Amino acid sequence: MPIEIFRKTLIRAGTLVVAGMLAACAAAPGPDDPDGLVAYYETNDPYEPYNRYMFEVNLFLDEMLLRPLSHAYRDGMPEYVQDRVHNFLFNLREPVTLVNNIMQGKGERAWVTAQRFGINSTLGIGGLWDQADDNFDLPPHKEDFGQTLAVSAWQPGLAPEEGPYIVLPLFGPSNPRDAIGLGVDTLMDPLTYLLPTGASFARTGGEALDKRSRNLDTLDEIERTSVDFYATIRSLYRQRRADEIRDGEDSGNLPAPSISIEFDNIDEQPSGVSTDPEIKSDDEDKLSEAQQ
Amino acid sequence: MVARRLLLVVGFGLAFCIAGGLPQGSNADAFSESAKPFLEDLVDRAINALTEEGISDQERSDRFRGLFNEGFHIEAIGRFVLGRYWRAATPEQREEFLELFEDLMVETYAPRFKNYEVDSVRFTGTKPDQDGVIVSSIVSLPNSEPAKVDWRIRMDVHGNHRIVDLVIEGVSMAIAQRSDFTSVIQSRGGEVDGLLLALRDKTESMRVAPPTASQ
Repeated sequence: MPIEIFRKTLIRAGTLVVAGMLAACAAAPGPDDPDGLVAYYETNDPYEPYNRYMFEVNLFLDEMLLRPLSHAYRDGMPEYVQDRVHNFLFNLREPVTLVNNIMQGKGERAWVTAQRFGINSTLGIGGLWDQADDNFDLPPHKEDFGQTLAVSAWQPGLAPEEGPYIVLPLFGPSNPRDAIGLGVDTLMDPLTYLLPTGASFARTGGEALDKRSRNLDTLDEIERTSVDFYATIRSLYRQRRADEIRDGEDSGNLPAPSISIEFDNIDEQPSGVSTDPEIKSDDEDKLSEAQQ
Repeated sequence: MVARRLLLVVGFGLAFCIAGGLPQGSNADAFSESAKPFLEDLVDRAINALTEEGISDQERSDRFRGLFNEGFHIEAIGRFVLGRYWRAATPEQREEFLELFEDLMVETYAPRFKNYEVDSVRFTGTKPDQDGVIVSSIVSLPNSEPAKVDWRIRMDVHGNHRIVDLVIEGVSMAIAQRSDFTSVIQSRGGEVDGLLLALRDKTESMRVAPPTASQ
């Protein structure tokens, strides 16, 4: 029975990803509701009921399997071993990062990745040590095809939209652009074809374990401190992806709270009257940006 | 050496007198130049006060609340995180929301200083922001990768520095908070009272069950 549910959910998720690509802006609020439109673009989540359901399924699976395993791994395995595993898995992914760097037209970053792969695969003994970061000042970074699609160096201005927020089974927060990226990254990874099936599964499992064990405390804290865990994760994922696409630059363009009006006399403010022109103009900026 | 320093001081004094006639630009410059020292001082005092050994959880929360009120502009942040519902809220709702929001921040951040390692914030630079400045820093905590944290700082009506947002690895805490609150209000029929109720429950449960530090 659980397997049947799981199979159905998988099919449903697949259908929704496709549907999402076809109808990226289903049921947006009309122009008579500008606030609603801003909120819609901020969350970008027309399939929220399905997504919340899948979020719960993933949390359940996490609670049953990945979380206990990650706890055992983090608390039971020497940190030294954990670091070797992390470096090894990271090094295996460098070719994919390299190709995406090149496709994004980022020559300098591509060169960093190429050197890292060369140095760590040899001096770092198959990637177990990050010699490139430790001794050659070549810090690690990742690129993926989801980011490449967003940047679209070969056709500026034609970069596809991220599409609606989608929670994938097992993989978690995503959107059509990132889901396609995930698939293409797997297809362009030489190891997909070189490794036997068992080793491929071990690699994927290892990556999940490595990532989850590093996030245990952070995710616990987010769950403890948020009122709506789902909505908070959605915002964190979308913001984090946007930052990765910008390569960590220009956070100054994000809307920010403004203090141009003081509220010392808060009791005297008549309700229902707009008292925050700054936020409003932020929203309008965002709105015009979203409508382009 | 001493003579040179004296000359510098005199030079500054002169510059100050001359610039006195045009406060606009120089005030703004002085504001952005003093943003980093302001933050260094605040973070320094926060680490000292909040990581002091032997203080009770209640004492730590009280100290955090004081520093939070001093360094952050809670009204501005509160207005922003309530988004479009701020305009719809009554004065009573706004007032209660700001109190509950402050409680939530205290319960969220104060316990994190319990096992905090000192000297782990390195300030790397200052740059202009929309209507203020951004001070960038690298924050290293035990058992995690160093994180890039941008502090967005504005000037309040009294000319004091106030933090309005923290951007951690490109993720704005204010925007994330706004998504959280907006979603709660929407799921409760668009009523601000729904959020107020949820916030009361949340802060209460956080007081009862602080984080289980696993380090």
